[in-house]
Amino acid sequence: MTKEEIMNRLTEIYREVFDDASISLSEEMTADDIEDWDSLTHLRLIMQIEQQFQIKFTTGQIKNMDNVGALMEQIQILTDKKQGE
Amino acid sequence: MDREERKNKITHFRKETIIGKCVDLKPATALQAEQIVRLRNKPRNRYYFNQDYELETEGQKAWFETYEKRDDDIYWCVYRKDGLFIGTIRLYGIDLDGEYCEEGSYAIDEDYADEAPYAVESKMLVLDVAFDELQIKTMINDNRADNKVMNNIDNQLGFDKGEKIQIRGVDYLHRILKAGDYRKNRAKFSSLVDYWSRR
Repeated sequence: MTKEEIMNRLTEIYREVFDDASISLSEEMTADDIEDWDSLTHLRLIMQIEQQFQIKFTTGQIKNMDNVGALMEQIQILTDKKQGE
Repeated sequence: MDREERKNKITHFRKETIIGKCVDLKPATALQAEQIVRLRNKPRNRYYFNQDYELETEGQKAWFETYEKRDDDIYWCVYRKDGLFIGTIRLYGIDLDGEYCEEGSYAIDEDYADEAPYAVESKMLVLDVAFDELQIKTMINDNRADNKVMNNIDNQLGFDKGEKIQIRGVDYLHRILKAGDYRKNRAKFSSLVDYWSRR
C-alpha cells in the first residue's frame, strides 16, 4: 500500500470520526491541531483504523503515535507484515 | 418504584461489584483510601477537582465514616480487568423520589486512560445504574468548563450544553442528562466498548 493510499483512507476515517468533511491531514498533524481530538476520539479512531486496514496495534504503538506521520508509519509496517504472511 | 425500594437498591449497589467489559466497578471502602488519595493528589486531578490542597489518607478514611452513614450516595472504585485500581466514580444526592441525582468524584488515572475506553465504560455503567436500576429521571453533572475530555464525553452521551456557574472561583458547566437522551446515545459507545474488550 502506498503512502498516498494510506493518507487517503486515513483522511476518510478522520472525516467520519470527527464528522467534519473539511478535515485535511498532514504528517505533522497532532491531537492539538483538531479541536475535538481527545482520548475518547483517539480510541474511536484506532478502532476504525484497525477495522478498515484489518490490522492490530499494540498498546505501546498506540501510546507512541504522536502525529499522523507516526500513525501512517505503523499502518505501513503492519499492512506490509500482513501481506507478507 | 417507591422510596423504600429505591433505598434498598442503593444499599444493594453499595455492596455489589458491577462487572463491565473493560472495567469492573467495586464498592469503595476505607480500605481503598490510600489508592484514592494517591489518584486524587495527582496534579492533573487536583486541577480538575479544583482541589488546592493535598488529601491525606486519614482524612479520606474519616470521609468514609460519614459515607457509611448516608443512604443517598454510591461510591465505586474502577478496576482494570487485571485487578489494577485505575479510578473512582460516584452517584450522590440521589433523590429517593427518583427525580434527580448527581455524578461526580470521577477520575481515571491518566497513565491508563488511553489504553481502552475505561472512562466512558465506567460512566456508562454508573448511568445504567442511575437510569435503569434506580429509575432516576435526571442526572446532574458539574464539570470544569475547561475539562475538554469530560465535556466531550458528556456531549456525546447526550448531556445538555450546560449553564456556566462558578464553584470556588472557577468556571464550571452545570449539565443535565435526561434518561431518554442517554438511551438514544448509548449504542455508539457500546460498540466502542465491545470492540476494545475483544482486542
